[in-house]
Amino acid sequence: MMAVLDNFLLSYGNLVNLCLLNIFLAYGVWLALSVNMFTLGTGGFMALGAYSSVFLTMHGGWPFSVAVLVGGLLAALAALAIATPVLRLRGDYFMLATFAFTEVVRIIALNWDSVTGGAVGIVGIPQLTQTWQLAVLAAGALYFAYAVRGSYLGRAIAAIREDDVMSQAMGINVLGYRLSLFVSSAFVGGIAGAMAAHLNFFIGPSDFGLLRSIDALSYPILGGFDALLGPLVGAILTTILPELLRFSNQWREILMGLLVIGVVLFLPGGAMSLLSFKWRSRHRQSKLVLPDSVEQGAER
Amino acid sequence: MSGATLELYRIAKHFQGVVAVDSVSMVAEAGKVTGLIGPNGSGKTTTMNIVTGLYPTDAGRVTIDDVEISRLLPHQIAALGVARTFQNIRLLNEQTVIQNVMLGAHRHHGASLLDVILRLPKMARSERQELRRCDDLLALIGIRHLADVQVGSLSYGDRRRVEIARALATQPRLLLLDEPAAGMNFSEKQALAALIETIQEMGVTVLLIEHDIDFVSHVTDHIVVLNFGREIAEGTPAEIKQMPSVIEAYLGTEDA
Amino acid sequence: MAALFQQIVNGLSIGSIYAVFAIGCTLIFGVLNIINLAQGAFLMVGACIGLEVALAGFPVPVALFAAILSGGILGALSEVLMFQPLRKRGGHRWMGLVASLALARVLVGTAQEVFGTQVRGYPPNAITGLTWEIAGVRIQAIQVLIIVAAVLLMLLLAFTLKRTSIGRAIRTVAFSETVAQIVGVHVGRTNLITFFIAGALAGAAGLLFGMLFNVVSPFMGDSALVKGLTVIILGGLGNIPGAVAGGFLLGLIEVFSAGYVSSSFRDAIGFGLIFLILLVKPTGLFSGFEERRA
Repeated sequence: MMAVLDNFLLSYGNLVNLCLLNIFLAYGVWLALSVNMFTLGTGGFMALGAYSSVFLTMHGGWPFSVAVLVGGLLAALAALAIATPVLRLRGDYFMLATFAFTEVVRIIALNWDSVTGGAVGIVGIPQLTQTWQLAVLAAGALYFAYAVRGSYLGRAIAAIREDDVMSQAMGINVLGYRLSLFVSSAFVGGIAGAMAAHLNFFIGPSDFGLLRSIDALSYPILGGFDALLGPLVGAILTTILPELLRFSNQWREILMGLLVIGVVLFLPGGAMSLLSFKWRSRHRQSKLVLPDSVEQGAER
Repeated sequence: MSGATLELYRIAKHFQGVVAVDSVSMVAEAGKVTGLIGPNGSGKTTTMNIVTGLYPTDAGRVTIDDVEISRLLPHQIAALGVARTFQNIRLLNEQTVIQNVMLGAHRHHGASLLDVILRLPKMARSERQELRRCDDLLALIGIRHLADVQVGSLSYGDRRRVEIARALATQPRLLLLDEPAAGMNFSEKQALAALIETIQEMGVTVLLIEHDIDFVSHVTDHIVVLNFGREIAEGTPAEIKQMPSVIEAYLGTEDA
Repeated sequence: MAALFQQIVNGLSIGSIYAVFAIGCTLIFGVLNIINLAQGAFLMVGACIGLEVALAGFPVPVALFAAILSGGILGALSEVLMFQPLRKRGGHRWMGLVASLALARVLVGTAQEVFGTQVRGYPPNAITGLTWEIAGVRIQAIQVLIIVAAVLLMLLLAFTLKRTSIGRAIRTVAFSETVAQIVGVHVGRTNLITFFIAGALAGAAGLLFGMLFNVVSPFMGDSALVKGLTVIILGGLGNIPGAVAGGFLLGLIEVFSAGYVSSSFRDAIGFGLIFLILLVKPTGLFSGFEERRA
């Protein structure tokens, strides 16, 4: 009886961890998406964070938090390195370039046996990640998104997304924003990779390939890109639903795929648009309170 | 805001064999309203795009108050106090008038990223300040009553005014208007002319691209005429109207 | 010298398959301006169904036909049920990409369910074992067959595009949808046929791939997609002659680099290539042939 309970709590707890991790990741991806960067680089950045942090904790004996930070920084550096050429590419080409990046990282991980363990991966990773840490990261990301959205920075980002030529004419440094958001998104990916690695006891190259990038990308898109809570909702739904469909590996894939297609076809605003009808129309009307009775600034 | 002097010296631009601008040299004097006219395809909009940095010029140079800006990026040029409107009105239609105009105030926000994240008082103060300024601008232009209206639902004339308000929100020294009167009826054009005069009184240098010679004559102090990518004439409106080269340039293309 | 020719033959046979598949991918991009990430799954389905038909005792041409048909039907269905409704609704282009990925997932899951997750192969028959030796170069009959089949398919496609009215319609829509409408081309039907052709090419490539390597699995679509994307970047998005040249080129590069570089890094070379090309010449190596858009 106790064993059953223990097992249940064990898997349930892991689900919570996964949800929190994916929420964190979702906002990271959202940063890039907010200026139309359809990035498939998340897998690659996660891999960099994962392998480097594991190397430090297992072979260098470094403290966990520092190792995670280094993972994030390495990913950010990589993003910086490829940024100059990659950011110049438009839409589809940008996506393909980030896709190539993820695959190159994956292949290196697959072959660099001495450091990454090759195809076998790395086992015996100390499980240092704790739920509260993931909760802090998720909450932090959510707050960051909230803070930026409601400010003049958020307005600039929305303008870039819709019309980047006009935005430049307004004095907005579009390339600068793109760069910062891309690197930040990579930083989040690196940290998430490091946290994921120390959650799972084992990592392998296939954990951080195209599929991971696609999943991460689908969190904000499915949840509803425009809504603040969109990435959160998308991450939770996409993480929990496959667990509910655990009874068959194959059917899980089929049903998840059908679900995504359904959302894309019938809910263009993402899952959040189901809830947000009232929310949206309220926000459309009373916008800014003009200086006669100055209470708030321009909240979105 | 005090106006800047814009000078173009032998700028040129061609796209894959098509010569959009052959060689253009002109001056828009500080505080004055200068018109840039010419038939379709004469290179007016390309010239404007070169000034704002959208395209690099193939030759020559562009200077503002004798500072060369030819190699700068658009947002850097904007930061120097150059603002513009677009021929096909580029506003964010899903947002309200005040939200659009506030975008123009972007570069004046004093709050840094840290201020934003930590929600320090500086951010709210900066926001209030810019909001007040934009509100005043809306009042100046006469669209304050439309502040919370979604831009997409406005008339063409009102949208044009919102765009101008947004350009003014950047606190420019030089304002470039790309065919602002296009598609306007008579009373709208009158209102626009009055608005341009107000802007001039604010001390801003205005460069006006237009098709409509009559409108331009009423509003400008000085006109430059382009044809086939070159300037073919310049002078006061009265002088321009008499010049045979100008009349000839326009005769072939009877504009609406 | 013989080794060189050996490699060339190997490279050309793989390359021809890449070319066929890539043509389908690039056709969709050229006409509809989207990257259909489900093409890899279409390839896989073609391979699986082709194998089933072959295992049932039918000759290879019939299997090829089945693969082509199943791929084509899948392609057409995806357009009708998914891509067209998405386009009609407008909205962001990401949606189409995400949807195509989801579709691939559904197909892979279904294939696993129906065919099992094991890797399967063709039963040995008269052809598979047949090899010729010419001047020290071992050429498998399979390789020749594949190259011939691939070239025939490409010629068939070229003929369709250049000489038939539907081909003209496709080229017009690829040039500009607006112009096509003005000229009286039924855009919806043309798009449907384009998707059918692309799916059919993917299915054919799947069968050929399965025969060449004697490996058919529900997961073969993923790596195929990667190859396809590499080739269309090499050749230029929307550039069909570029896809042909790029396909052969990639095949040759892979084979030659496997000879001199550890074969597991072979894939990395493909990606390194993508990267370089995107940085230096995003329009592809062969963009001289590209038709300008209106």
